[in-house]
Amino acid sequence: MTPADLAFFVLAAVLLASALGVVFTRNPVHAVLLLVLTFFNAAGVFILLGAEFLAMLLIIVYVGAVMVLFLFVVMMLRVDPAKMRAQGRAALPLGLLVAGVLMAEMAAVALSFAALPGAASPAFALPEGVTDARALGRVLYTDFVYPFQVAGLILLIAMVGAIALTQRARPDIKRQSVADQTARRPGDAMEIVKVTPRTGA
Amino acid sequence: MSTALAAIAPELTLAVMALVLLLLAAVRGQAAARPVLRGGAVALALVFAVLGATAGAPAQSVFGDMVVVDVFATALKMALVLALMAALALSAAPMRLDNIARPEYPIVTLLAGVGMMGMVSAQHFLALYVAMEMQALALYILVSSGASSARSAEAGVKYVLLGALASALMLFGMALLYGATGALDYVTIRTVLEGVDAPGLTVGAGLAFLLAGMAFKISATPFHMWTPDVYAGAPTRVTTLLALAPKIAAAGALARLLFGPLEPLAAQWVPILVVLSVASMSWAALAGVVQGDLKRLMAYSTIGNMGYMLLGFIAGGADGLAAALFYLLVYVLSVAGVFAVILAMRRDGRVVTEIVELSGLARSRPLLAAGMAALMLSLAGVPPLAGFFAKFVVFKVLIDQGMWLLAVYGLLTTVVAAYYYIKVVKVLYFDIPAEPLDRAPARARAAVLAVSVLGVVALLLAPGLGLDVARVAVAPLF
Repeated sequence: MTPADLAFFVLAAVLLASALGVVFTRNPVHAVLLLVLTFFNAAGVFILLGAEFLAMLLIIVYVGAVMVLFLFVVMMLRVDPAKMRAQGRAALPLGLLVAGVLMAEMAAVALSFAALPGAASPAFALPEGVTDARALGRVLYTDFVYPFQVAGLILLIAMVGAIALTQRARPDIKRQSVADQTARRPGDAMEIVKVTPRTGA
Repeated sequence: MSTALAAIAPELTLAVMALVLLLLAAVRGQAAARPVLRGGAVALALVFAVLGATAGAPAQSVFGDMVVVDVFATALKMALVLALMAALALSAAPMRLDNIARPEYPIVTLLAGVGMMGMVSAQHFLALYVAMEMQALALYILVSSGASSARSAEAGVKYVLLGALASALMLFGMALLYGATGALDYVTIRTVLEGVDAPGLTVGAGLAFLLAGMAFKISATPFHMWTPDVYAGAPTRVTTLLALAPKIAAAGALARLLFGPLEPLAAQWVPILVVLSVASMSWAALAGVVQGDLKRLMAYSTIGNMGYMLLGFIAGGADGLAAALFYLLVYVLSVAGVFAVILAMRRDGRVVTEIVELSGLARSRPLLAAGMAALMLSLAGVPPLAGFFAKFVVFKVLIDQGMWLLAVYGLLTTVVAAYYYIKVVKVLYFDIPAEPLDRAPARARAAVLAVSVLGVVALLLAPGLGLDVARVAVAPLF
């Protein structure tokens, strides 16, 4: 057994165990954290397969962005595990059916993939001695630089648009102004009145 | 690389200027709204100058044949820049009056323009798709940009959902054609398709899906459902943009597809276009009759006019496409003026868009009414205005190709559609005057209206000139 094999078995075992944990743990926050562990181990398996770029993508996109968002959602929503369990049981037959169909389809693809024409010849062959991230970057910044840059502009438009549409000046809403609050002196808000007895204020 | 960058200099200029204005907006905040709007106009003028300087250059394909720069692309880009300029100029007054002076919207408009320019230059499915998504995303944002208006938000959501559906259909069509031909670039696809005697189901389905997506973009029936709601719900300054620029871009991309890679499939796509065109002309003529809202009326007008434009595509050949392009440009010229009038419609500071609000406008605002009447008569196809020549040219190429029946049908729908255009003229001149409209000084609006009306009338002096320009522009495709 080579060190690579050993690494694979360790990563795969932790991957499977944490994936099972995602499904079976009662606390949704623990489930999200276990999913993060699953992604890290899957990234490790990708590296062993020589797909470093996919591994980086998995960690940056899924762990860095999607899972953080999930964690926020799970923490902000009040999820009742008992209720969810009851609902889950009701959806079990349908869930099993969908899972079964998916498994059958994946098996069909896996079994027929090798027989497909052109399966052995990739569209872009990886040059000898070049990592896949570098090869991908070379293609993206040469052959596909035009659509790649346009895609960048699309993301910019999305960001500008999201901010412009959601950040409206609403004069009807009172906002907290910390500067105003700390700059406020007792004299601005209070008036000290000397009340002489028996005359009233 | 440097030749590639030089070839897309107009797009680069516009994108860089948009980014510079974005920086200005980031530093100055809301106060930058007016400078950014002016800067946007300057940027467009600069791009127009760049386009003019490169108009005579020989055609070239850059970025691995993804982008082609030829006379057709340059001519359409010039038209696009003028349309964007008109839309920006017309948006100045409403943004000030409605108190939504935000610098982001002119910037997003400019970036939409970059996407549209990319569409007419695309020579590769990937380049076409990203450019199209870029302009679509920018337009979704602009449609939803009405100041906390529920109708604007509703229009935005509708446009996003249906637009996503259309993109999906188109992407599916592209994928099927890729599966059938093994290529994404137009030149290779054409070579492969020319070698096929009878195109199979994959090619046919790919063609159908691709055309469905394009039909959505030019709002041809039965893919027009979004048009009236989005036109009416979007702020009028955005409806103006929607009616002008994206139609030029989509028609340009469609022409490049149909007379480029899909040319060998003409026997397959001509019947599809006939159905789209006949359905658009009929539906627009019938549904337009019952519209009371001017913006909805203009939506049906767009649908009908796209149907007539498709007649030129159906006739085919350089003459047919030149007629279609000429028709498109006359449509854009007239509609810019119509929207200048619609944007002038305010009473007591509120925006009004019903046709009856124009009652007796000839008494209180004779010039505005005369301009609107001329544009309406032109859209109806009354001689000797530009709209008549445009329709005449399209019907003539159809008859030259022996498609009598289609030409006669188009003529009949023109007569039905003339009812609602002429009804507006009747309301302007013969109805009991309503309260006068607000008088808000807007030089830009007056300028757009003047250019539009003068253009529509002055074409009488040189009816052949526009068509000759269109012939030169479409030459690279044949």
